[in-house]
Amino acid sequence: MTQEKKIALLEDMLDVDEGTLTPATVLADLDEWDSLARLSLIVMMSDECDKQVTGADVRAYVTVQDILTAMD
Amino acid sequence: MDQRYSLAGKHILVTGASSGIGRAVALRLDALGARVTLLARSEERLKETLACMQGGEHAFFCYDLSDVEGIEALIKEIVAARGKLDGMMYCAGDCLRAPLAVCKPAAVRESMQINYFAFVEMLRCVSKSKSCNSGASFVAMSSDSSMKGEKCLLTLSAGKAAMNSAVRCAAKELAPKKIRVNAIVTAFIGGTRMIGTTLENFGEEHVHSFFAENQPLGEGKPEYIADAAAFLLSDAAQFITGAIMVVDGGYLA
Repeated sequence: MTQEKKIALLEDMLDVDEGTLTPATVLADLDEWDSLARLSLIVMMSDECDKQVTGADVRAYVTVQDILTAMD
Repeated sequence: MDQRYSLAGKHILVTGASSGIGRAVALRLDALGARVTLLARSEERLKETLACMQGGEHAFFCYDLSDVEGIEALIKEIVAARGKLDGMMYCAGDCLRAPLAVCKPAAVRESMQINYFAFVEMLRCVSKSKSCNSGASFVAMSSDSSMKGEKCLLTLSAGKAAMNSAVRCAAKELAPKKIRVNAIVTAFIGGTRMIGTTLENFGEEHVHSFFAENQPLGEGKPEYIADAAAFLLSDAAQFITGAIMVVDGGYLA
């Protein structure tokens, strides 16, 4: 999956405008990065990337790049 | 002993019997002298449940209830092999925990398939006079989320609310045949798949503080649900039908 596609999936999941996210974006700076978003990510990574991550895994992500790496 | 509470010799089908609440119900029915037919997908876990049961004359069948079209043949097979049913406890369920943002059609359909479509088909088949005895009692494992909205439990909430409606309608239709249909609702029960994913998603500390604030009697055990199920399956509940019994440690109060 290309980086562009991954970022598009994340922007869609977080319901933010296209172009909002970069790999360097700090998740804690996003209003949308709440407990529901973290749960959405768990489901999305399973559905789109066939990756099983836990709540603990997700809570450890600091930047968008951390998520992009996990999606590989 | 008051025979109305007895389940001795009654043939009860338990779905979702491989773990959690289904397993606890199967064990309780065994302890109360019932003849139990266990149903689930995993042969290994069904055998584990069976190994914990002391009485004899129990049997298991492996089946994936998401194959709704095959349920009719399954019930015929069970009745042919084990005789007519005196009751059923439907514990099979999908407990997808997902915010609306990721509730895509396939996931919603999959959840509804087990929580509602399979339940209705199961009820349709077991309630036929060739499948059950007069006085049979059918119990559905529902959820507090069917009566109160919960973040991230949209598919479970909707599926179990649909299940509750089916219970009420079927109860009215089947009453003339002395067949009763009821549901049990609960919130958080330890040792279930639901609590497993909750702990994994939110962390132990969050979950325990959540219990303290929202479920006055604390974390529930599958055995508490088994207590209620055994009652509803017995003749002592002969005047209870179409009911949604709350067994939730005070969560909805």
